Amino acid sequence: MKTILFQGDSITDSGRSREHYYSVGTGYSVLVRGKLALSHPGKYKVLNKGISGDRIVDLYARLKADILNLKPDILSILIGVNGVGHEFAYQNGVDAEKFYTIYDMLLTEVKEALPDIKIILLEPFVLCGPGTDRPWDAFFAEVQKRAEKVRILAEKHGLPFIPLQEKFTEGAEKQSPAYWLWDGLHPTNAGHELLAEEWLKVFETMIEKGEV
Amino acid sequence: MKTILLQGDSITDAGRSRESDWSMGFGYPTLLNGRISYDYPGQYKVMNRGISGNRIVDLYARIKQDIINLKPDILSILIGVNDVWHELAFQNGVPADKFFKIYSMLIEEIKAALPDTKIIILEPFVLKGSATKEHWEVFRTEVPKMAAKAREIADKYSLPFVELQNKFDEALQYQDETYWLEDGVHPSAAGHELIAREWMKVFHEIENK
Repeated sequence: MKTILFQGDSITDSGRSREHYYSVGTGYSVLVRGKLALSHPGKYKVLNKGISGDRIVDLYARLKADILNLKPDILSILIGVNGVGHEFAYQNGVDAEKFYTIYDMLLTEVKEALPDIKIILLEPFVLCGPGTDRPWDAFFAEVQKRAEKVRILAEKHGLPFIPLQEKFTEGAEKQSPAYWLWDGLHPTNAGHELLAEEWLKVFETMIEKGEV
Repeated sequence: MKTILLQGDSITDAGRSRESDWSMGFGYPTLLNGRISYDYPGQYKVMNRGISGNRIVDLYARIKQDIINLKPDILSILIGVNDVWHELAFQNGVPADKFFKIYSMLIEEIKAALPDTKIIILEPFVLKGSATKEHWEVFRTEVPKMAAKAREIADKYSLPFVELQNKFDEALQYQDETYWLEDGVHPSAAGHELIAREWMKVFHEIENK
């Protein structure tokens, strides 16, 4: 039985219980868990330790307790939008260069401590909505910078990267942005399904290659 | 009016209010605020932003909101004992080399953002007590490593350093460990007074310059 650990901010957290170790909330973690349980019975155990409000520096502070000590076989990380949003809201963001530096330190330390781990990086994404219209152009430009940094980190560390912004942008052309991300940041049930589908595409190829 | 910001863990926190700046707990911040407001009327505003349980990585995560955005003229930092303690209690500590690395990043970012801020580094300390006796050999060797790194930080960036471990060690000739640090980590009233006195010595040196 291999352990998959989902890490990130509120998008990953999705209302998980802090009391129950295996509680995964109502977001993409539970959707992935269901699909894997059906397609690969008994093969994967899913943990979600996302925390609402986390920026990369908060996740870095949690590195030991919430990543290394759990010794996951597969680690999935989705982080970046709060580094932008918290700057607009509270002047408490993390700029793109620092985002890259700390994310790089995090990945380096994870690989050092758990050399056999498989890490999957998810692209941060946004659509125009009440949570991102600060104004939208400025918010989107900043998130794009973080997305680019994650892509560079995936290349640098040789990790699978899951593109998501384009998928949400395409979705918003067919349905409204709020259909996918109700406030421009947080996925609806449909948005979480999109995330889970994209995640599993990459994960299934890793299974085929015998990596996980 | 200059701002003095006191940063750190539970030793600094000391039960401060999260709602009001006026209530800064029962520890050395309140003792310092009393002395400074008495000796230098209207010249300084003291703020306590210590948070119980913080290790260097937690303080680093708070750098913007709880340090840089407050634009202090003087910043005082006391951190390091949880980096040892939380490893023993929760396997969630920070080793000495990482402590030094993140502490350096913290100082460099503060200096870049606030070049005129005077930074004071306080030495982390420990004595044998109810919280430390079970793993006393580890505390006795690991906390001094953090203390040495804090001193290295002070040397590297030419910052005033407040020595505390040897002061607490010396104080043991008058009273026992619990008289100064209730559980080996957290200061008693007398322990907070000791910190406040040592801090004021360094503060006066800065003032006289």
